Amino acid sequence: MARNRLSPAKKSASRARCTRRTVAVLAVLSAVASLPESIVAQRPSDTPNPPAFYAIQNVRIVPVSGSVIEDGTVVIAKGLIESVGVGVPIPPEAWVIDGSGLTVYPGLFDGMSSVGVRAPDEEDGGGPGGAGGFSFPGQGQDIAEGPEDRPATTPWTNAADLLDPESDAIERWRKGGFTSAVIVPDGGIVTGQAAIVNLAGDEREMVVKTPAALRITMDSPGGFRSFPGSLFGVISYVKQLYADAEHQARYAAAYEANPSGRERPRYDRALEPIQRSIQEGWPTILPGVEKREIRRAVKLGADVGARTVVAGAHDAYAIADELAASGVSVLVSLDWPERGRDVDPESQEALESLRRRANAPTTPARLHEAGVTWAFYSAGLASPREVIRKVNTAIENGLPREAALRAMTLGPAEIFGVADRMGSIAPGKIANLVVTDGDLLDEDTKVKMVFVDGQKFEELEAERPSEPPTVDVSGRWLLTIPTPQRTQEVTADLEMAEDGTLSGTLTSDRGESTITEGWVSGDSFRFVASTSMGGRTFEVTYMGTIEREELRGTVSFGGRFSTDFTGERPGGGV
Amino acid sequence: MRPTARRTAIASSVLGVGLLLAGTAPTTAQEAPIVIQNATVMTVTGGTIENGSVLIRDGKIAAVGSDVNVPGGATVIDGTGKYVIPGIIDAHSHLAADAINEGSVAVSSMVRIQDVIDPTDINIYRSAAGGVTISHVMHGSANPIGGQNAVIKHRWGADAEGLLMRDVVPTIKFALGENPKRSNFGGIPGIPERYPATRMGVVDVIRMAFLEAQQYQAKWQDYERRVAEGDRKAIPPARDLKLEPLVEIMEGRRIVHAHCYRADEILQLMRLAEEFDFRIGVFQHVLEGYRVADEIREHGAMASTFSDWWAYKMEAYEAIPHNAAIMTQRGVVVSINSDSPEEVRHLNQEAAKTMKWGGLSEDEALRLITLNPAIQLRIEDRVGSIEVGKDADLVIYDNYPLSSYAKVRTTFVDGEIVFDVERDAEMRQQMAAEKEGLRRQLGEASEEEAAEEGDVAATEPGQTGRSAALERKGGSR
Repeated sequence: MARNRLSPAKKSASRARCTRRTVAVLAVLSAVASLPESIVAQRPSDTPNPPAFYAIQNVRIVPVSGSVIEDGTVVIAKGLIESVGVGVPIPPEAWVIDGSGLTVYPGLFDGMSSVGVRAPDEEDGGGPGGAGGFSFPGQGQDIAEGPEDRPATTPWTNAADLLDPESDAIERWRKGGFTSAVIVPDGGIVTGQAAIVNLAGDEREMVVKTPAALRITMDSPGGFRSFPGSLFGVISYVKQLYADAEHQARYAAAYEANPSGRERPRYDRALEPIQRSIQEGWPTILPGVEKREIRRAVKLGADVGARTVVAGAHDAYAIADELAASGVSVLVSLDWPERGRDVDPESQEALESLRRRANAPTTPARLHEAGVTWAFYSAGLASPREVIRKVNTAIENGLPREAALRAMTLGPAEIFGVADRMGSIAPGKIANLVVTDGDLLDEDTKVKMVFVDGQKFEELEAERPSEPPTVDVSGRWLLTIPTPQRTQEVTADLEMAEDGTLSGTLTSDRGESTITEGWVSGDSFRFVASTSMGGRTFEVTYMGTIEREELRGTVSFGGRFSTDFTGERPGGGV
Repeated sequence: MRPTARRTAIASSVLGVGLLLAGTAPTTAQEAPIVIQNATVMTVTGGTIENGSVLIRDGKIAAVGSDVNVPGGATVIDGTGKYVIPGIIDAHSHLAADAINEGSVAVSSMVRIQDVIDPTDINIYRSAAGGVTISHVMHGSANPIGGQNAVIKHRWGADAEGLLMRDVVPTIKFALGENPKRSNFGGIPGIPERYPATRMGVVDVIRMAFLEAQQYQAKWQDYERRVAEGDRKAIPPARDLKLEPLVEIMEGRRIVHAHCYRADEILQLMRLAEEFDFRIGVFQHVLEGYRVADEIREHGAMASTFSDWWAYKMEAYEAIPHNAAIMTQRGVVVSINSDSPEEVRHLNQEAAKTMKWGGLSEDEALRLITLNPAIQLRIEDRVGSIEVGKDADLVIYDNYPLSSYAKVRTTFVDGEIVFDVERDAEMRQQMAAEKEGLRRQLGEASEEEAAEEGDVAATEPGQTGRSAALERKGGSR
């Protein structure tokens, strides 16, 4: 492939990694350019590939693991960061992106999330009150009579196996600059194994590491009839479970060495992952928001010999030194406590609650000062914008900006043991990047593009400028979308109103679709048409500029992948 | 557990406001010795000393008597007209815990109060304001064999670990009668009722649990024997957190505190314990204890009861206010407990009632809430009386303590002040100021509100204006 020079503001040559589920769509739309054989050969022959080499040059680089480079180049090769710095060589096959005025950061990494995780199947079991959350005992579930029934215990459940790559949430978070997350299964006491995923691709491509952690909650499922029905019931149960796992391991080893005359060990699905988590030192996520809850989590983790990661930690500001001494890691929930909306305005709030509301956002600063290994997690916040807003609350409360950024990049990578492959912009690491038009932590900064595993995602701006059109695009256009297999041609019949509003139809060998919205402003245009393919409906967005009776721009298919296109008047000569 | 009707909080002036001071450091350790002078010192074990003094040093009672030298640098508290007693010990409490009942199973001996201590419970402070320095925080009565209890010191401001009293013989809750059989509580439709549903069943559950515990004990004994004989291949048996405490009971290493009311069930449980060669430590509530006091004494058990609280359910009808006195006179070690965050604030009055109803002496009455509960918790060598070498857990009353006129001036735990009536007034102001500051920091306080808060807090304890102000705020607790 020839070297292409593209201005990101106008054109982009981003194409999606071809996921298993989008192969059909791609084959039809042929929206992907050709690639060197060597890469194609790694994949099924009918699977086209995105570009493997990018160079973002003239860009401000915030690597997190090193000092800021004001005007440098980041080279991405085959999903990894190849080089970072000033004047680094750009491979001839790289698609070069002019990063003037832009800043590149490591992709944001959510320390704990359920993005893209679906609820486990009911039949996956897990004992009474188990997988799929708590349902009332007796209604389709057995009552747990004791620890031996393994209530609400599904340590074999792995969030990676519950991934729905089609989930809208994945795209929503990626658009906001999040390229990775520690995903966890929900529901139960031992909810299962966490996985580290990148936020693009299919299941096989998304997963970076699994198991990344074991997650335990202190939620009691049972009420007054099914064990455990109380907080201390849960604590005693978790201890019994770990004791059972330890015994099972010891006994099974002895039995294997000499089975003759010995009772064989009982099969217990719950114990093997627990044993592994201890033997392999998995991070073990335990909940703790208030002081006593945090201390309980630290103590329970120590009692069972786990490598504890406390999640929540709003009161950790008060015991930061204690946490540092205990050696646990901390995930700070960004969902800062707020006074309930329906609270009686006359009621007196307890001092403890007031203190928590006032001081929770100082927790990150205190943990940072105390030298605790910590990171942020989104804790159910609705959007990346909300996350940035809440991070700013922590910054206003004394957290240095660099530390805030670290807690959303290298911080989680360190806690979950992947700092050698993610979390910063360094050669050899996975090319997860976010490119912005300003400081990533400023609330009005826009994410211009996101790289996940070296694959570029770019948001086509939807805002219509106020400037009136300077050209009239009414009439027929022949759009050309080059792909490796063939060139896709689309006939566009456009009609432009005086104010620039566009309407019309698009016709290809797959049928006809209607433009649902569109405009021309100055010499720029944008129009959107819905198309139905393989049972799914998605929007195709064309955006670009008109120069001397030629359209040049980017076409995006449902925001999942995009490529360049050109358009000319019929008979204008291709 | 007692009915909620009796738990109506009394908005006493000292205790009504939510003095949420957990998180502040406890009173700083007293570097300097403290001497309480010229007070009436009721030592419990050594008689009452008029114009007596108590010297506190390093958290312990260093001297007591009518002739105590004041060491250099000592803080002197004038006790003229005041009374000093040992810190009150509540042998039956449910405060400061985030969980009380693991009601799902008939035997919940695996759960531990010490895992769920809530150091922010304001009742820790409020009961200290009633002279209580130690509480036996118990599991509830939903199970024939309940969970493991905890003994805490009322070190208000300390964390959960800091509240726990160390090196105490562990205890466990048992329960007999209506609560564990649960047959009159109304089930949940579609869900099978938990066994047991009768008093017979309660005994059966306990017996079966100990039979199981015996087997468990034997397994471990066998393992330990094999190890002792040099068997390197011996594999330790699987730990069972439910049975471990039952083995401790059989081996005399854990004290049973059994919730009970009726004479028949008391006898039943003692016989059952004797079957397994252990003894019930303390019967709790034990409202019909006066009927079987001799049997209780002969078994080696003790009794912790109420002064005059009964008839809140059928099995609690056959009670008399002479219960504590009669059992005492029959040689049973008796304590009066609260089982209530309200009653705990005036256990001195509860003890005093035994002088009226049962003719107990002043010392005997005082023992019911100090030395006797200490004996029941096997901590009598450390607390429960004013003796040299014991923990400096002390209460200063402004009046004769075994009367309804007495109010606590100061409460010490390990020589540190955990409540002081004057300091309380200061703390209210500090708290109001802190709240105001926090609200302002959060951008939420109106100036009017802040001013009103200040007024409420600044009102002297005992004045009536405060409760009126509280009502105005809708803040009655």
